[in-house]
Amino acid sequence: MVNRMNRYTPCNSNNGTCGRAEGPNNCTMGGANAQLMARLRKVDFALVDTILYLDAYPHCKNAMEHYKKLVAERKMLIEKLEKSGMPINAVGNLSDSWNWIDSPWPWEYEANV
Amino acid sequence: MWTYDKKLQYPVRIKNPNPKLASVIISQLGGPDGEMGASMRYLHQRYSCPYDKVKGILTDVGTEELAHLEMVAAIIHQLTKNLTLEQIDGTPFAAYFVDHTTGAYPVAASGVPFDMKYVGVKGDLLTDLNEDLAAEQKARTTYDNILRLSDDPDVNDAIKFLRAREIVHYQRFGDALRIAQDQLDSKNFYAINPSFDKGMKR
Repeated sequence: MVNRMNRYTPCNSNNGTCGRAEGPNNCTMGGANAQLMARLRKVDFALVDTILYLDAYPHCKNAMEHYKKLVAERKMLIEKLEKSGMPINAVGNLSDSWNWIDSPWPWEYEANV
Repeated sequence: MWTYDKKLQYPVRIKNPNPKLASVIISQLGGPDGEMGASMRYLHQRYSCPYDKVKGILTDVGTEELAHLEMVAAIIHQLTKNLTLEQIDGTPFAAYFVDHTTGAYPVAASGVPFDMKYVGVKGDLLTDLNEDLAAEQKARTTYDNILRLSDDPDVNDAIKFLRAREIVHYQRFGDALRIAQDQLDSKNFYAINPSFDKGMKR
């Protein structure tokens, strides 16, 4: 059996749509989008924790302010990603082509580098 | 309802396949203290919960557990990708491989498929929240055991994140239990079910 281990070849496409056929996935995420995605993960993680805290302490003003700042940054990051052809939700597909299904999908190595 | 965000909660990037390690980590997909059970437990306990703060905690922790389920599946997927038969044969993963190839099937490391018996939904908030506190600690112990068995830094990075979340969830469920107890009638010092026994207010 052939061991196809050459799965980390980088790709210059910035939106995961280069269509290159070789390898288990077409390509990795490009540099700019990878940075936006990394920031979005951090903001969303802070949000998850803040939301859990607010569930238990809904009258905490500091947590509420923190929450609002995070929500605003999340909105900005998601808009940037959507405009570059990388929807985070299935309702965020702004282009005329259906980019939602483009690899890499989250469980694939290429989506996390 | 739920919508899907096309990203992992925390990145999983595993460079080296390791079927032996996959065959123990699979327990956090479908084992007794895994993420499948965690998400199902909290999301199904919500319906008999009488207090808004606790409904919020059960909903949001339950939803986060679905994200952890996806992370564990991503670990399994990346640990078993592009394996050769030589890498599988003779490892503990061979027994899984014969039934599921390299699909992500929710099963315990011992080979027992996921069972809703792992999930307590008692319809009694105080019972359910005590179950949840124990469940978070059991999951934390399982992640500790995985860290004892794993020497792959890529795997350990993601497992340490998941372990830390069990501790945060334990803290929030501690808040939830205190909130529930604060709401009890002052005469209800035996903590009878606040979701059902309205007559206890006599």
